[in-house]
Amino acid sequence: MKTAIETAALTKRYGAANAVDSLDMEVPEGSIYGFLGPNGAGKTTTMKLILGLVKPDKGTVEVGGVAVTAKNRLSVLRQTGSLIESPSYYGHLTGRENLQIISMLKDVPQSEIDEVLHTVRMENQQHKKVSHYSLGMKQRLGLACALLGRPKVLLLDEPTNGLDPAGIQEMRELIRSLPGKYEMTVLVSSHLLSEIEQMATYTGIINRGRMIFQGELEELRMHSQKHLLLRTQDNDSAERLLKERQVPCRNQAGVLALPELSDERTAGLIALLVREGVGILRIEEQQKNLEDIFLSLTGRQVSL
Amino acid sequence: MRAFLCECKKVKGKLLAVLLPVLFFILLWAGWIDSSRDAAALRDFYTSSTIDLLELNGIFLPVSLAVIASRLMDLETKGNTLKLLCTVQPKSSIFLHKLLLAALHLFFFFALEAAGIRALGAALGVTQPFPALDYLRLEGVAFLTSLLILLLQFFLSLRLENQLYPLFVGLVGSFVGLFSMLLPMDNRWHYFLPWTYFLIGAPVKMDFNEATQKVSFPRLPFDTRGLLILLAFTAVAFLAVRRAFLKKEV
Repeated sequence: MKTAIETAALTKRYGAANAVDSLDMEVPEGSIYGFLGPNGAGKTTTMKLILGLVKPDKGTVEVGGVAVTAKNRLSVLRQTGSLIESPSYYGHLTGRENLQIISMLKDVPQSEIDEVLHTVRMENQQHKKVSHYSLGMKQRLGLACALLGRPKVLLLDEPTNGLDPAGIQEMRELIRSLPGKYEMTVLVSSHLLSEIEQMATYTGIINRGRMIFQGELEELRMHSQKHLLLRTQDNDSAERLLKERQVPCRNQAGVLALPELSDERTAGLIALLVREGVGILRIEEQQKNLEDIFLSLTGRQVSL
Repeated sequence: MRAFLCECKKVKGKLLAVLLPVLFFILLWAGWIDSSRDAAALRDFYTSSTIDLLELNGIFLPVSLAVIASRLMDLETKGNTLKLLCTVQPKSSIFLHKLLLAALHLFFFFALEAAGIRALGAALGVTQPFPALDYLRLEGVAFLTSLLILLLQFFLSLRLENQLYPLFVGLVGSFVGLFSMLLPMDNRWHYFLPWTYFLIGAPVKMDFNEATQKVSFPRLPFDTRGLLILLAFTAVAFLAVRRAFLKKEV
């Protein structure tokens, strides 16, 4: 697997706390990498470390196979675009003037401005002062700035933050279209699991500065194990009877949790319980959704 | 060059909007003071104007420079642009081009100030030859002093979240500038206050003879020690502010 971004043992300390702790990240080329974690998990710091905006205490960063050092940082970053935290803009200038400044600094032909404006659907607002833009428009302008120079790698930090539902949907669609349109790799962070599910092809989960999962979304779903939930009129007797027949189960909050069983075995056990006078109230198959997996991995609540 | 042009584009006349009214006001004031003098006083028009400019620069520039420094820094702080710029431009280059842009504005400000006095003299029919070297000394030192004050204001704007505090310091500087002229100009007390360094460039001082009720302008020797102190402080301030800018968390 060819990687667009790779970090090894990346560490950043603020005081005694590790904001990023020995982080090994591998972002496959051409993927939309969903960087997921609760607020304060270290997502933004990681992105800033990749961009060289903050100095790591330890570890290395490679972008496009080239190790980023203080000397070559800007030349390596030429192939990246970024939108970190809130969008960056000069409020007293128009959207187009903002793009002109960035295109001059990136040494990108002015003709590209029209192209990125078209991509983010902002042709009609380009001559308005940015201070008069809505947050959604500012985010799109930030994305347009990031797209200037057709970077191979795009880093987007919580790009849908503060947007209304329509804006969120529009931004998601835009991000999803980027790898196909520009052949770029997108690293997008979010604390919203549903968002990553809808956009990403690959995901990394960070918690308290540490990478706790990295792989394809499908791989993450494989962490989910099916199990049966059983409610009876007498859970204690049911538990005893099931354990006598070597069926591991545990009684939790009035429900018996059983491992996944074959249909025949399930039918046999139900018949046994009924024969022994234990009334069955409900039986259901349950599979952990990504939210449950996330919670079990991070031990922290995450927004849906 | 690209970075400098970008800086010009970003500023979009914000510095001119501060400096041009100040320049206009200073020239208007100087013209008003001088045109109210009698014909005898107009013989020393250009010389006496150096005293007017010292005073007016001392009053108006500290607060104007505070506004300029705040605007230049606020440009990047308000819209969170540093984190974007730092991915396409070295941080030191951002600082240097901001300073260069401000310095160029100040250079033209002082050049136009001297030219304005020359034009006023011509309009008032002054016969005194224009003392170009005196004005070079006056405006040259004013330029360096302004750079030093600008650097100090940059430092405050970088360090203080609330931009009202640096502006307040600028206002205090203007008061110091105002009262500096009331103290003996050939004393060296003012080396302790950067807002009074304009005085280092004074080519003459003003003496009022109570017995004859006449004003005279005895020449002052060039204050080489003062200039060296000014240059040294400016260099130290440059290094300190550059360091603070580079260390600023993005």
